[in-house]
Amino acid sequence: MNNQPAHHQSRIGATLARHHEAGTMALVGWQTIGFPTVEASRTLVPALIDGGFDLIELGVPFSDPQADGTTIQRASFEALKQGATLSIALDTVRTLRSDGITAPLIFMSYYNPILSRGSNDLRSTPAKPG
Amino acid sequence: MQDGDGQVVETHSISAGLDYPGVGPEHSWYKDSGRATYVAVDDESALAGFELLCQTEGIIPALETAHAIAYARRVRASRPSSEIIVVNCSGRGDKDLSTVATRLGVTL
Repeated sequence: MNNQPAHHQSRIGATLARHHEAGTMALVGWQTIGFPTVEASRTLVPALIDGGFDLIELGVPFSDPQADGTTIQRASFEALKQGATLSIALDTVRTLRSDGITAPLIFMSYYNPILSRGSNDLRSTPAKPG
Repeated sequence: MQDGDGQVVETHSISAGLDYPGVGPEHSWYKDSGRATYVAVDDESALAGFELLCQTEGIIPALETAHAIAYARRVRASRPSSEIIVVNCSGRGDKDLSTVATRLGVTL
């Protein structure tokens, strides 16, 4: 989190601090962008938050998700068939923010989709190795 | 081998050792520095190369090696007959006999 812009770090930090002060645990959910469809994230992420999730990890699908278990591997494979990409993942976050979602949204991606864009400078993107 | 989004693409080769989307740093360096030239050989040519070495030398090459045999035959025609072409027989083909038999419609 050292290289996160201050306002993103404070969004995650504020959520965790709120739970810390209340003595409760924060719940982190996962959504593979593009599963079951690209459009589904727009309703599924708010549904997760309504259901009690505090932070949402947004998985960028990758052809070889070797660091993930079979569930996320299968979701990733389906998401790629639906045409999900890193660009679509970024657009999804913009859409969710404009829809009024304020919960922390954290990308999880393998490195190659990021490397292929020729830039490492993506906001709120901790890259998974591989 | 990857698409524009950085997704690794599906590869194909009749030989398992060549059916892979990655390449090591040594071959990458040889190619970029111009020290080596890299060419493509398809499945059918590799099978023909497999049969050629079996029939002429009684040596069963690995299917990976058979790609090199096929390319040597391809390039031989344009080289002077006095020239010696060295082919590295990288592996033996016992492991590939059932694959080749299936492709050639032979029952072992």
